[in-house]
Amino acid sequence: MSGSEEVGVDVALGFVLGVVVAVSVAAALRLALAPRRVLSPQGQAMQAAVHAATRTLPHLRRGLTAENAGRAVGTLRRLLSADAVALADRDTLLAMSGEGAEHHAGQPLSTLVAADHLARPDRVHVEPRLRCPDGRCTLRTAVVAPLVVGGDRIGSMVVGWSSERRLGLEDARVVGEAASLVSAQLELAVVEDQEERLARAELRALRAQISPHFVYNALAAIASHIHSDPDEARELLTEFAQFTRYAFRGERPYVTLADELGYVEKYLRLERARFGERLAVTLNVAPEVLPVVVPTLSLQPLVENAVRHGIEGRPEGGHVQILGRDLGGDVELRVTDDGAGISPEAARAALTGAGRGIGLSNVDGRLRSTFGDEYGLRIGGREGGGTAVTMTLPKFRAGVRAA
Amino acid sequence: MIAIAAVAAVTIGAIGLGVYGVRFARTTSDLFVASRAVTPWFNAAAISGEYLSAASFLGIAGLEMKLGASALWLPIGFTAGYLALLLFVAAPLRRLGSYTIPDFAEARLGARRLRLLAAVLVLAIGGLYLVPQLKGAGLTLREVTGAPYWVGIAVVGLVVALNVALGGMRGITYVQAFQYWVKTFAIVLPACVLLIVLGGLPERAALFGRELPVAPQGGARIVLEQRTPVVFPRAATVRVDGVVVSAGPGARRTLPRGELVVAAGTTLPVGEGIRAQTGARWSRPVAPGGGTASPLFVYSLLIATFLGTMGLPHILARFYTSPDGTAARRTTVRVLGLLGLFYLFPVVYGLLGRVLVPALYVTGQTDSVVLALPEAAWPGLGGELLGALVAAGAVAAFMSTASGLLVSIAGTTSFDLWPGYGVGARLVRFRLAAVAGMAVPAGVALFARHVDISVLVGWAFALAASTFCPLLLLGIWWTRLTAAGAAAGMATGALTATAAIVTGLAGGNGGSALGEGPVDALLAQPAAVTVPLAFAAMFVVSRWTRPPRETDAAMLALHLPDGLGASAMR
Amino acid sequence: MPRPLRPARDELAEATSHGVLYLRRLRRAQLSLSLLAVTAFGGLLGALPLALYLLPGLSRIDLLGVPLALWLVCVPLFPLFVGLAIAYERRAEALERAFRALVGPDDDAEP
Repeated sequence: MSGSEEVGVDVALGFVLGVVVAVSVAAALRLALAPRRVLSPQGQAMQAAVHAATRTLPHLRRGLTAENAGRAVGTLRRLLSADAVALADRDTLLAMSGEGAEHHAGQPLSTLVAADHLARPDRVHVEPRLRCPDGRCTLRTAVVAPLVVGGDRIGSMVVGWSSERRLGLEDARVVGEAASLVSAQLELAVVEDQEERLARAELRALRAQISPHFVYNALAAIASHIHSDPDEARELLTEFAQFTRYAFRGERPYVTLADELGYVEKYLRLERARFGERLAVTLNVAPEVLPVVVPTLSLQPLVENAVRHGIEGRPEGGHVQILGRDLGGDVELRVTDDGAGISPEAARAALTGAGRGIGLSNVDGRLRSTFGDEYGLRIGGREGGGTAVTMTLPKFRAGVRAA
Repeated sequence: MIAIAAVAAVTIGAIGLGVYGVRFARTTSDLFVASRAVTPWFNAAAISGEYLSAASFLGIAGLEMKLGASALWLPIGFTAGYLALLLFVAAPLRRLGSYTIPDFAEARLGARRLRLLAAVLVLAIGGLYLVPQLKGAGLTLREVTGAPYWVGIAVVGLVVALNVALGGMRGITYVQAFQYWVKTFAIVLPACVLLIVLGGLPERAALFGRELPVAPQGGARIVLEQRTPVVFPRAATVRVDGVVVSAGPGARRTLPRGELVVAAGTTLPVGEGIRAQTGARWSRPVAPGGGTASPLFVYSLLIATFLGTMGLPHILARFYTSPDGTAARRTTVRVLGLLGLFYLFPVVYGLLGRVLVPALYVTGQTDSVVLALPEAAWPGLGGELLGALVAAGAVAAFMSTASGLLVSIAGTTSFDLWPGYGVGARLVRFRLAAVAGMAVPAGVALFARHVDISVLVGWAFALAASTFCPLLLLGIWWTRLTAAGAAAGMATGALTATAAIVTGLAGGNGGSALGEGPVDALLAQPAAVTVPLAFAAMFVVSRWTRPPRETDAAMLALHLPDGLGASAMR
Repeated sequence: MPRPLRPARDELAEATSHGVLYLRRLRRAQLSLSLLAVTAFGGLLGALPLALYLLPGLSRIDLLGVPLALWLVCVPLFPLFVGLAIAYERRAEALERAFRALVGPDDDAEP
């Protein structure tokens, strides 16, 4: 009978309906209530321990001293779940955490371990029966691992347990690894010293990107405010610091236009401290253009150029305009001034790096190498009519992302 | 007159805001504020503004009046599409930074030819979606000014094309956000006012009872602009310019041009392709049997809209304005809220229209119910003012969607399909493409006069869901996707969806007067079959072919949370 | 000579095999979250046409003069969408915060 078949179909569909509703309600509740984790709970606990270690161990990068070691031993003990952990230099226990810490810390290393075990830089020593002269000491077994920097043993890590447990291979290995972790931090102390020297050299190179002219003027402007308006001077100094920090971040090759405009603003505030009302600026950028990715410090040199050629040396001041337009798949940024203008020859010279213009050729080169030769800078304008520098770039290019 | 003024005001306002919207002079102290990206709320209004098209503003109520409550699944699907976007696409795609699907295809799969295929599909979907916007323009301007249908298409097509070609993209976010509020205001206020004026829904029997549509109190006078074939569901006697036409139940007649007069309470004849339904049947969202209320059609439509929204070219482009992936996600959540607010109201127009402007059943022009309703429901100045408001909203609807689509079409053409070198030359090509990209759909719109707006839009969604949805979903979440697989899947989806739609068209139904069988339902809305087919093809061919060697960088760009660059970059 | 481990975020930024391991975990977590949300949403939305089909009586129950079936289609789904979207958004952002804390140095982890 077709009638009963239809009833059967309806019952089946009704069953499906019930299941679907139940499953989706359960899913909705889970979505609303259950926390989402990236790691499993065990993983989370382990990660938390390791994370704590990475927080405290870097203190050792300042060198193996009692103070730095004292900050690390507690974390190490928790990480290794041992009863005691001590760090020593060649002959003294610098810091200790856990059982027996109060009477061992600061004592010679030989009070725990015989000196003849401590010569070789590549050996982990296992001490199955500790004999502490202090009768109250509960430590019974220990593993001693070397701390090595540049191939020399500069100290030891001692891990102790109070029970009469048999030390296994795992214990030795884990302590060995932990010691090399500490060694790595100590090694970094050496490396970081070298890096600091390197960074100073880099800084000198990077400083070339910001015009010394601007740095001098900005500092002069800040200095002029120090007596008349100390608050303003302090604020300007902060802006200056932020601006230079941005400029010196050479490893961040691309930023969004919104970020770059933020720094152009800091730059302009500093220039305003100098020029006051003589410097008029108009910003006119479509919101669709703000997320476009630009090379770091690509717009700022354009603005600096406009300020130099449009305002400096003109007592009546000048007007700088920053325009951002959406051209469909491309973006056009234009910076104009109403200064003396530029001849076509001078414009060409500026783009080849021969003539005037701070870093315009550098910006043009970076745009072309990133986006291809159809993008880059164009300089327009006539003598007496102001200058317009136009930058074109694509809205999207695979692989080019703001950091 | 008031309506013409309102329409003109919205048009000029939109163009003016586009041209001058970003020309607010800002002094240095405001620079910082200005360089902040737009907020999620603002961008959400812009996205909603671009999305709420003629299909939402006019089409839903029109289709509801014609087919019944089964049309109400459309707004649900239109909104649900953003949930799919939110869950699977918005944040990763924004992080990648690409804002067109061709860009995505190339960045993810590194295949130049795939980019071409995607570009062609952008044109197809964009064009298909543009046609109903222009149709809405023709309808609206005819309703407001009495001008012939083609005039609206020509005028609006020209205005939009010129605005886009001559740099109307500037500040488009402001324009679209403005248009969202125009549209929402224009749909919410008249609906509320009319319900208050009428004291609730009238004529329960006609809406939900046993009645077929009848001529209202005082009789109906309907101007027939052309010879109109009709079906008389019940025996009736009507007059056209004084000539008496009598017909038995189920009789077909072709009424001559002239003024049709139907006495009050007489069951109205209905135009070709419309099925006269009792209120009880009309008001059922899902019902056994064939047609658009059949569960199969409803599910297929929901699939098309749920998965098709992410493939609409003009929508993805708007997400570019969000500063990062998190902001894109927040924006989408707000879009859901804004769309939900709007979509609560079109249903009111369909309900009132069935009772108050049943004349549209005779002429078949149910798409204009939103425009015709206020003056029919509330004769006098009040109705005229509300009529002007909905007309303005309708203009905002097709203007904003049409410009967004045209920008995508012209951008894709000038970037991907029309090779050439140099930014300046590309701008010229963009402008020419904008004009050409409007001319072709305008031509089609002239002939597509009798296909419902929402049906046309349904096809665009079906095509998008069968091609770009698998590309985006698998591209973002499955590392083993290959260029060959993506191409195969998109081709499969495009061909099967097109074939189904064309077969359905050739079968003579405009998509609305459906046959009874499940095959008819699937020909009219093929997504339930074509989307799984496209996914399957993409999956199988990708399994067969060697995955691209370098997926890690693209996957990283898609999924790495915002603000996690290398520490060296801090 | 022992080398210090590089921070995971550096591994990630350079897409090393180690970084990809982190990323795959995050991608899977995000995907399962999205699938959970889509199950909740798809189930509830998908159930409605079926429920209306199986229970024609819903069209005969009136609420304020309008059949219940019509109410169900017109109103409650929209707030449901928004509610699910907000729940998902919060979870997804929490997931990303957890991930950031996992790979990043302390000064980048949000509280």
